[in-house]
Amino acid sequence: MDFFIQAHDAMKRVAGTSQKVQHITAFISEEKLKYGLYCCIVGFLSVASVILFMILLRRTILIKQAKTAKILRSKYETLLAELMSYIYENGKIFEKKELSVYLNHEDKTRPFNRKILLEQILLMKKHVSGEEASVLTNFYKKLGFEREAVKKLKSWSWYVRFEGLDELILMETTAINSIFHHMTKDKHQLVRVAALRALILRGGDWQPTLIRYNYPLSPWEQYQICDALSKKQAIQLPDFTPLLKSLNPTVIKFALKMIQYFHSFDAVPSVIPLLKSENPALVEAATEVMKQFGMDDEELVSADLEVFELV
Amino acid sequence: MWNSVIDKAIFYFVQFTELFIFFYALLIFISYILQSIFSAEGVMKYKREMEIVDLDGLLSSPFAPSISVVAPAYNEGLNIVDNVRSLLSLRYANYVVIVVNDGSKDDTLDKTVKAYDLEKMDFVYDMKLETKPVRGVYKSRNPAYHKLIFVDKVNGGKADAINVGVNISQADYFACIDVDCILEADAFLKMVKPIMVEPEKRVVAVGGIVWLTNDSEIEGGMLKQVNAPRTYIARIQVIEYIRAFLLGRTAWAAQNGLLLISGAMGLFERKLSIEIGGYNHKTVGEDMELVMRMHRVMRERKEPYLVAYAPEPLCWTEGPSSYNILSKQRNRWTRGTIDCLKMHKKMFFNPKYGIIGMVSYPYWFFGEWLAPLLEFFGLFFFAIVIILGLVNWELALLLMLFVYAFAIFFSTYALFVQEISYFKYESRRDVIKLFLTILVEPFYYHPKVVWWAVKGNYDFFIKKSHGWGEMVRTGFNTPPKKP
Repeated sequence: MDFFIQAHDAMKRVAGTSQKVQHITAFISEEKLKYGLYCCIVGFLSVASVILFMILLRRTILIKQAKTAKILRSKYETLLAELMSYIYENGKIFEKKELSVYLNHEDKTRPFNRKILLEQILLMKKHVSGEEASVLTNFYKKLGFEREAVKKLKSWSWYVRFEGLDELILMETTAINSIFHHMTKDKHQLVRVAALRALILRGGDWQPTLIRYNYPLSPWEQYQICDALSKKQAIQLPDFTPLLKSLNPTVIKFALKMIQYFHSFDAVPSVIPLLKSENPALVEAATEVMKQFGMDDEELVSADLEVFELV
Repeated sequence: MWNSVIDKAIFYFVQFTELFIFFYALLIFISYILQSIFSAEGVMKYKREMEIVDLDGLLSSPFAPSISVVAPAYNEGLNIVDNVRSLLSLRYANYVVIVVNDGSKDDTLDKTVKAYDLEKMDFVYDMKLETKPVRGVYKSRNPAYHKLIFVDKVNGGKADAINVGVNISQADYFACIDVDCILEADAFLKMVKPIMVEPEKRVVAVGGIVWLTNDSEIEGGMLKQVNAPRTYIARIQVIEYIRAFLLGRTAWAAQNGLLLISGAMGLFERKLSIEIGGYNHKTVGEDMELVMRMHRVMRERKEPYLVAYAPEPLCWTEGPSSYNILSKQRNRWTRGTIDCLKMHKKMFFNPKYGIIGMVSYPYWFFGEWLAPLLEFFGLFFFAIVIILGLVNWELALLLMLFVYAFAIFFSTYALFVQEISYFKYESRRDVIKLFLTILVEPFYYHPKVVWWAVKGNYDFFIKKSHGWGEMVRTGFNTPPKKP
């Protein structure tokens, strides 16, 4: 009991002392501290209220936008159908000045309307071909979307660059392959691979681009290239052996995987030198390919390929 | 003499405590602000990428890794049939589902055998990871269920059951799934994306967001409509999950500092998991322990690697609906955290382990383990300064309000990130309900959480308790009551 009484006394004495001692917040006056705290409290609560308001407002705007978008989509769908039939009725593609018959000022200038119109054009382009497709492309160009897409390619945001590229690929504009070549050097993986896909699908010279590819190829990029190659309607399988000369090990590994995947037996002579590579991962991948083509461990050894430690 | 020594001791104690709490609180505030920034960036980047990538092509791609879904089941008779059906209907080509019945005492085995027409197979069990004996391996006679492997084993705990699944698996990756969870149909397509876009580093694990289904509408093992739960206890857990999964883990993953992938939803590289000995069954925090061990081993090997994260709700589960069960869950989480921190204390402020040793581990130590203890201790300290008459009440009240305001701001921000990213709660009323829940949390719910954590510490250090609590489920097919 004595201990607690003494401790309590001590606390009281300390209380007396500590009131004279500077606290950690002593560098700032109490008034200023309180003012700062008031500001922070009001600030945090205000931001929280604004966030809640924004959430609710955003919902209202989204609902409204969805309604407007639905009306616009239906309008533009009809308009595009009419434009595509124009060529059959008039025997020629419409002139730029004739556009005002179909589109009002708001359709041509208001960003939201333009966004919906562009979405509709892109959507329709996916489902048409031949003359109808060229009418759409023409319409796309006349409305200045192509110019905007090219501008997008220079954006700081990878997402915008991708959008621009995607648009140009889909619309099959006159945009030349050099744009795609340029975009294969983009900083963002998804933009690069979209450009590579475009090169492959449009019959561009994709192999030299891939040989000089400076970035490591991720499995995603490999999958995308493989997918594009499968979709490209070619009678002959592409020759992957030039890729084996790349200085980029991931490109070589990809080529080996493709040789394995497409059973390109003709590529075997080009694969053999890789068994002597200084990169163990490449030796392993090359060995896998050789084994798939029926070369067993003994054959690999007897071929004096200096891969004893691997087989 | 006595007086001066005691006076000095009390004086320095008060001064030191003030200083410590001040800087501690400052660090915690800074960490939350950084989490807000990194997570928003991470979520938006992920969302943008997912908008443009076509994942469907992966269904037939030779580049997509193979996956074994390992689902340990213990007394899951109530939901097992629906949940297995949900696992079998995932959109991914190269996967199998391995359900491991961990010696359930209920009708889990009988129900599954009957529902899926299973028959016992002759099977050579290669015990790469040591486990309790396997009683039998079952496969379905019905070709429609050819992806299902059912394993019946002697009870050995969740970690042991998962290790059995890993032993049986032949895939590149295994996914650890709680059998009582519902997965999004595209969950694996989305989870393998971080593995595939990584060009150089070895992706050793991928986590995903786990979200709560309480009072949501579920039909045939699939989620139909997400609702904010009716009860406060479930609603506040929704807020906690949004904060933890959407903000916290996304931010940590962005820095490759993620220490915990939820046991309910994780994808792990099988080869590495076997090399490092699989799940540790000596701890109740086996999910966190595995990730920490992966980090540790990879850092020691000096091999470039990544623990990735898909910040999207891919897995849905039912949160505890009573405080009693919730307290047991939180008690277990606390014990698991302490266990993992203790097992890997070598990494604590060890520069050899990079961001894990210098940032992630210390954050878990100070921010996750120590925080509730300090809060609890803070109450005592507050009592002492009241007795000493040192309290400047106006300032103290302002400080409390400051903390409250920050808590409201942070949780509302989490709600906002959820809104702009995944928009799971479509009803306006749900948003208001969640916001009101946030307002009450610091007074009503948070003290309970602190108490459960303190109790977890007591159980760990004093009672030496290391077991699992019981989790009673109401079943996903319970229809949500009208609000």
